Amino acid sequence: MKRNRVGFTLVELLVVIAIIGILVGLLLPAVQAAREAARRMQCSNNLKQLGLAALNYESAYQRFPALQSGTGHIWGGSDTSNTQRGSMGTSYFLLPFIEQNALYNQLGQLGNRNQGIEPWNGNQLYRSRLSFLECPSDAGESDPYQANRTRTLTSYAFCTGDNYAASELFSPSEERGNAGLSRQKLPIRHRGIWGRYAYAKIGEIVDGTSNTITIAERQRPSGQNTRGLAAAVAGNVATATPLDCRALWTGQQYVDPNLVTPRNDTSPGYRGLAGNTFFAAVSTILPPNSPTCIIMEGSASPHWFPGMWTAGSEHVGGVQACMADGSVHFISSNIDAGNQAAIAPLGSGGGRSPYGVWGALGTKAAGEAGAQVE
Amino acid sequence: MKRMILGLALLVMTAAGCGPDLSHLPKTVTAEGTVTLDGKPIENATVVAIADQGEYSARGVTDATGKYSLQAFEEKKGAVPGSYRVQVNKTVLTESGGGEDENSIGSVNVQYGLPKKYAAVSTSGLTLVIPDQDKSDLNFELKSN
Repeated sequence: MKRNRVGFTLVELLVVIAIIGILVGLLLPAVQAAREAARRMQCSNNLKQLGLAALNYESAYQRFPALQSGTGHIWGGSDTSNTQRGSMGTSYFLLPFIEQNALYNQLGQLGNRNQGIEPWNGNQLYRSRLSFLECPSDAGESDPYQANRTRTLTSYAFCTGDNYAASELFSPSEERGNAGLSRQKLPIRHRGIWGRYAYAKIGEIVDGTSNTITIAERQRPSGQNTRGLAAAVAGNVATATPLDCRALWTGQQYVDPNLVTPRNDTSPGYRGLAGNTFFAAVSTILPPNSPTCIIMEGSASPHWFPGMWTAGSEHVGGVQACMADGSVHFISSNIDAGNQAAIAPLGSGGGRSPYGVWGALGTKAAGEAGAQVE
Repeated sequence: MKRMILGLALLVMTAAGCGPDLSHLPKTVTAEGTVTLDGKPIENATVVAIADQGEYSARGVTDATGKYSLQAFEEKKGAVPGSYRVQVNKTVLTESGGGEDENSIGSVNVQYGLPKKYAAVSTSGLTLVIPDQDKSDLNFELKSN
């Protein structure tokens, strides 16, 4: 007996669904990879724009901008307020060179006495989203611990070289009050190009502009206890080694979530226009995509301490970095990072970097002209 | 049965070709132990072993029972046999203030969780010899005075 068939049998349907499933299974990873490749390209384009802006700034003023500087922001009812002056970062000074003159001027009006509020707290301008500071691979949109302390997002940081870069020379009480204003403006020189109130000349990059990193990715953390956040290591710059920091990291997170700091203030990546090394510096100490650590002892606001500000990204296997000649390179996480048990040289110190090729790429004048990315 | 063995052999042969080539790295052995302070195990203490010669320093961190395991390379477990100077550190962190109110300046207090002298090789006086075979009793019995 023959029946007139309309539609498919169960087996036929199952076969078709299976085939579709296999095809989707093949396609999906490829699509995701293509999407990440596009994000990475956008990310490297941002890096290039920032690198060129820095070079244009240098053309205009014969110097690179400082990592951290300002217009002497004094705010409050009296001059004795303990306002964080001089905390504007390089990305703020590059604004006019990246077609953000209006924002630069508006921010510059703030923070001076009787001219409005300080440029950070409660100020919407300081929360401006700037697309060229955001690597699309970094997913975090708001501070993982204190959403209300989210300011301008950023994925990029300026290279301070292979020393434990700090944002202050003296204790907060000696430096941040009005009495300490002159101290606060003392330059802090690092072995990399950038430093607080330190305006490097291109001629200082004797290792070669093609061999010295200016700007690299520093991943914006997307959750609590994830890469990009900083953990504290009890100690000081004379005792701490990169391995002390590495030992606290499982590869995915910090072994003790209570060591992530600060959880009561802004996390890295969420104060893009600030100049503290905590927010704006990248060190060539621990290899790319390793943990980041603050080195400190005692009680203070944590944004000013020295640390190992490790480069990181969501890209598979490494980070992108812009050299002082404006070229952007992908640097593998497996790059030679030398002796990780070595205590970092002082910012004022000379000599070759103990941290291999990676350390050499970060320093501007350590005598490793031969170090190259590839 | 024969076919299964053949299949297994094939699997082993192909799997051997996978994974990174680690032959350029020196031989490592298991180097484990516990960290105690006055007899009590210490959690989340970092152990950094700095090689007397060569560049293969290692690090580890203790678990809740005070046990650590040294690792010299990202790619493989274990440490390289040799003699080391050791620093053991533990960070204790408390935060106060700050929070959602932007105008509140928070502060962070970081203290040593073990006697400070142990945190640097220059003052710790701790040494370690990792022999040629696996060793699991490389204990550090620290004293608080």
